[in-house]
Amino acid sequence: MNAAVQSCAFASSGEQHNAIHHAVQAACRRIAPTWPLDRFIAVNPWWGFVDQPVQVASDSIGHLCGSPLTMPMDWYLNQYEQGHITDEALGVALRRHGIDTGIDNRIDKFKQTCVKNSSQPVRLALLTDVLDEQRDLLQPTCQDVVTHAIGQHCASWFDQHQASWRPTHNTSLYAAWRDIASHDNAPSLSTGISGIASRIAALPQTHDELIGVVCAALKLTQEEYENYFSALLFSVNGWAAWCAYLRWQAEQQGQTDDHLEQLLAIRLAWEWVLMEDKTSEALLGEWLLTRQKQRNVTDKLNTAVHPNNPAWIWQDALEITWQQHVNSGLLNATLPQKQPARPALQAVFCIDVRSEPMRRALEASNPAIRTHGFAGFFGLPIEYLPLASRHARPQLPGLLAPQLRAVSTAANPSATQRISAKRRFRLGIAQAWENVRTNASSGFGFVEITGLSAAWKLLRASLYGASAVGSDTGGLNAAECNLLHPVLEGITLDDSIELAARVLHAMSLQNDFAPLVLLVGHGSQSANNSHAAGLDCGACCGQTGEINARVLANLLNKPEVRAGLRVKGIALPHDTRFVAGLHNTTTDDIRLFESPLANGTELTQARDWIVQASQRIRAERAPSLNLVGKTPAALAAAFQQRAMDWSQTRPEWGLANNAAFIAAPRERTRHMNLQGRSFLHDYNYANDVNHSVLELILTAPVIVAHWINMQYFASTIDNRRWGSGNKVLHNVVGGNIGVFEGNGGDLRIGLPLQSLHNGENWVHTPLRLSVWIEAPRDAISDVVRRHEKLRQLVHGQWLYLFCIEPDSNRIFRYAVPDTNQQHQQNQPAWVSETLLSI
Amino acid sequence: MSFNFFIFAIAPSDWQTLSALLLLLLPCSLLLPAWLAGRRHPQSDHAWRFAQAITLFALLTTLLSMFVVGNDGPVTVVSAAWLPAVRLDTLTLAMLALTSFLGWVIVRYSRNYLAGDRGRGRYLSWLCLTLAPVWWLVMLNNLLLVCLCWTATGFALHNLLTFYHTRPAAILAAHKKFLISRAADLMTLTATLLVYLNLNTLQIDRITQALATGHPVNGGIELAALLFVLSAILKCAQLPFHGWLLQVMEAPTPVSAMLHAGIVNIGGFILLRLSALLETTPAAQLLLVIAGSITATLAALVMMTRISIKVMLAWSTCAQMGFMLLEIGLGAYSLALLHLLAHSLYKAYAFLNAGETVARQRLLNLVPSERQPVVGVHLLALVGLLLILGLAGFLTGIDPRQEPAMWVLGGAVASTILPLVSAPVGARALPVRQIIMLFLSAFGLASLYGVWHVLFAHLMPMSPTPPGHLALWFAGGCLLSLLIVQHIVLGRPNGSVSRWLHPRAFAGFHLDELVSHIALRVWPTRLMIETKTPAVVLRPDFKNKENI
Repeated sequence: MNAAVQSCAFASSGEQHNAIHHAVQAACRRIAPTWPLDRFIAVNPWWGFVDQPVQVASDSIGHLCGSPLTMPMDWYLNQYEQGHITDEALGVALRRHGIDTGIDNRIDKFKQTCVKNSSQPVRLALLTDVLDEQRDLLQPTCQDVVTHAIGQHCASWFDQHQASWRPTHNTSLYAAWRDIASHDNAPSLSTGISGIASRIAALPQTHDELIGVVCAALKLTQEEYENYFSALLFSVNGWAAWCAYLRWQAEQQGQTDDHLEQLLAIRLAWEWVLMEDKTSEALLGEWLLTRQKQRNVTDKLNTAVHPNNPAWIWQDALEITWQQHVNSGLLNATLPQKQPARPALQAVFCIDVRSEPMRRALEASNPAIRTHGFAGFFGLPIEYLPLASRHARPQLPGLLAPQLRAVSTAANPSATQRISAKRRFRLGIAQAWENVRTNASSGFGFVEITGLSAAWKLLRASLYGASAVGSDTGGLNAAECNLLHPVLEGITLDDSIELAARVLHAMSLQNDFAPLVLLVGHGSQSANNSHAAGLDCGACCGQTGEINARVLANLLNKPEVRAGLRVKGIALPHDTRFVAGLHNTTTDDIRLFESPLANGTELTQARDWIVQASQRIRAERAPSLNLVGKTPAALAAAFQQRAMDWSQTRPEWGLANNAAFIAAPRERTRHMNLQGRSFLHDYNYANDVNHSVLELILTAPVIVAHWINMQYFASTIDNRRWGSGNKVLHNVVGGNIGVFEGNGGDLRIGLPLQSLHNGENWVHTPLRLSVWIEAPRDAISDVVRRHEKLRQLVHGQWLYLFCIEPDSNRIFRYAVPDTNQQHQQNQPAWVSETLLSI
Repeated sequence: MSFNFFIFAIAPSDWQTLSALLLLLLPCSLLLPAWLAGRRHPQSDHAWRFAQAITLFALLTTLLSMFVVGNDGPVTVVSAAWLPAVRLDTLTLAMLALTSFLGWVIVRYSRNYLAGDRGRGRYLSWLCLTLAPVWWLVMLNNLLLVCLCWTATGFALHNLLTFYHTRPAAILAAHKKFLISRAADLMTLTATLLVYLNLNTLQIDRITQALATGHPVNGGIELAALLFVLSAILKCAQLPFHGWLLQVMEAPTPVSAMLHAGIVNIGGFILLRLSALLETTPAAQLLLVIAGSITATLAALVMMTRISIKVMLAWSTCAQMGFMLLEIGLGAYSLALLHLLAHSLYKAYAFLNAGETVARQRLLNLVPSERQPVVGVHLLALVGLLLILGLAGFLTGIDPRQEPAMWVLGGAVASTILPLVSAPVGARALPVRQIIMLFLSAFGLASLYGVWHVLFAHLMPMSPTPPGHLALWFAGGCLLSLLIVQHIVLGRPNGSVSRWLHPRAFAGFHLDELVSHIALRVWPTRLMIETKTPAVVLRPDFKNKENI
């Protein structure tokens, strides 16, 4: 074997080396990152494919992973039967796919073909698949053994928190694997393939060399490299995504990271070492045959189905049906002719879909309440350093790098110092106890002495519930928490004024300030939930929005900042006060961080309205949680209990069913019930002279919303691959890296099944994001033209883009230019949306 | 003071009969929710409420029986000639209180946790059927019935472990457990037969009495003792038969809690119950000490390398069971019982609350840890350690010269408080307040240990014969080497010892793969339920109904 490897090494020429290098880079770029559980923001798992139109990507992903980007046909037919897809919408979808529906029974004929037709994508066969084909069912599959082995090695390599005994790394991921695996007989024992360890020992020293050598030895052609590499990486998708995250972080700081290449090398090496010498020729021959057969099938499928894949026609029709509802609502808006009077209360919420019902409920408390929507990090590019800690955490969207730092302070430095010392003391003691608990030799006595006290913990958690100790309040008592407030560290007055002006401008909040302006971030409350951060604010990097709201309120309440703002033309009335709040999306309460300056009566009034709003929205949500026929107080208690229930795997479904993004003045949507399905961003194009705010909206919040939308989409269409599976089996890896489903295997990314499914039905309907912008068409086209990623998303139909034309009160759809001329700078065609009769 | 003072119409023996009858009925009543849950719609809650009520009632009945035992002392109650005798003593009641409390917690937890799962009803049925034999086996006086109940629990548990029967890993782990459990069952049944042949009775109280009053010990009895020890070693997941315990994370979290807190420790209970038999055979005791010490040492070492929370907890269970068996082998029955109870509660909470790992990690990360203990313990720390131990021992009356087992077990307490008293040595500038607090905590732990020692000595007597020197030295040597190795590898994680040992410990010393390999050779199983999926069509059925 060694000799074979050597001779192959000589065969690889420089040209081939280049081809391999390019293919490796291309395959690695296909992998989207996954964030750690303590900042679990949503990601489009197909972010590496957005350079292709979505249907093309669907075919490629189907080819590489075995699952397309659409739901199964019977699901669509079921949606049709339930009326979620109308005949009219299906007709439109068919026409968009170039199928003439002039003859009426075309639609019926199409439906009939769909009932019969259910083609599965053909997955690119790996060598392990061919091996598994030949084996009996009494042994674990090679694929499972390899995935498990890689999973364990990666977990051990990347773990920072779980294991108490971790030698630091002095080699690379690949070299360490080669070193350890060459002494490990376990894979041979469990697969029954002999000599794996000795073949690993004979592998090249570096991952670069290995890829070249094995490619040559496996007799792959250059055209096959990229797809084969991608398929290999997708077979260990979770860890690949983790490596991609490390790369993402490194690139944000201007560095590089090659863990992904090393992971690829390890997976590739496994293909090679599983072949025994005596059978390798036959196996390679069979693999070649399988690949050829597959290529024929794939080619036939692609020409036959694409571009008129029936599943995509149904998907389009489903989306069109929903868009029609929104369109008719948007066009029914009664826009006020005259300036309204000064509002009694303003509240700025995050654009999050869960803010929409809350805003609706709050506005229903009094017509003089005005609500606004803006990204929940409130435009502050900050990281937050908790008191007494040395590790700052980002509080801004994952796409951006922090520029400023917020810290917690009390009224004066000495008080801050005192509280900080106390906290360090308490956390230090907790840390010492943790050492006693987790050390090998101290565990026996520790359990024997303190174990009985767990009876009390079990009793309390069962009867009363548990509340997660937040990292913001841990080690502090309630009184100390109240003394602390977050502020920006080391920022000059000029910069503060500049920042404040920029934020207010981006919020379209320039005049008509109410006496009380609430800045409401959001956070979710759940107990015993490893994916808790996934329900927090995505714009705050999977944290609660509390810090950002409080920092901004503090900034805008400063008299010297206001004086500076006045110079810049933003006149804040003297009696206007900003108060930060936190919307608890599980219980739908809003907690206000009371500013001592705020006007008493107005605050009391606001609290009253908020209580009414909370009651209204809880009543609205109750049926979906099987809580009907309860008084408002009982309902509030039931919601609270649910949030604290340590056995609750479905604390909330607030983000499920997201489907729309609307950037317009609130008057456009105020009369609509969007059922918590829409991200709402306030945008007034008249105030945005140079369209800089428009550009910001389309390139930041829209992308974040798209990521959330696609995370839910992907986790729903194939939860085994893009979701993290069954929550009752979850097993947290490395303290915060992610979860295994069960013992081990691959790292699982995406959302748990319980976040998407209520046991009977999906609670999320996978729709691509539809974006409505109230702005002139040309301005939107201009932004789309200038930003490559956005253009790819829109042109590739990863999302829909609509323009609400303010003057004509019409809605236009951004129709994708013909694919044949895609590379020319052609004008986008805006197509007027006609309302179908629904 | 007699019970008649409160309720004068009923004689003491009636109270005994009443509680024995109630206790005997409890497991029967669990069959009702088991049956209901299998029949009704999986999302129906009646059976769950019922099961919860029964576990709660079991807890109340246990409390009642505690009064009876407190009043009358331990008895064996024959309520009717055709009913099996019930032992009312500390061991029974402690185990009953534990399992009914945990049963209540787990049923309550699972009710929401598995909401929406198609197999929810099936889950409750098997949960009840697993719990019922556990209750019987801790209370019955007939050795054969006890052994049969032990087997029945294993069979019912098998259905919980394979709850998601489409997962090959679940099938493999459950299969391994099945083989090991059946081997253990064979041993217990043989041992029971041997006991019967030699002592002419299956009643545990009579067996104990016969052996205590100098019944001659022959080869048959010694073999029986050895077989019971071996089956406990198998069923308590001692190395190298531990693999199944680590891999049953393929079942829902509460099943892990149930298994780790209420079932894996039954081996320990049986040995405590048969302590008289055990004492007849020093070889059996020594075997127990050796197996327990080796497992405790190696499994604890492996535990430090685990990268996922649940598997870490499983290795910890493996080590803790080793420690419990070691205590039994040394004759420290009261401490073994304490360990059994404390570990069960501790581990049940740790499993059920495993989702909190991320939040706890975040909190601990705020102040980065000074995890690495220094290699040479500072003289001051050592003096502090000895002072604390001496003072706590003096106050609570623990004297290793009277109780030789305490040389080893007290050593375990010393290594527990060592991280606390040596923390100031590792850290650069620790505030005085913190040092005082750490020393106070250490003293608190040591004293609390003494208090437990006194309390449990009342509940469960220690072995009358002191442990042999070999056992003491072996156990002490193992625990000491664990301490030393731990300090070397944590103190110099990049040293040559650590680098050499870590891959081996991370691989679990390759023990399980060997055993699985042999197990699959001896008795293969189908790992896939579905027919063979061709490589080209790997799209799973995505309704996922099976899984939710």
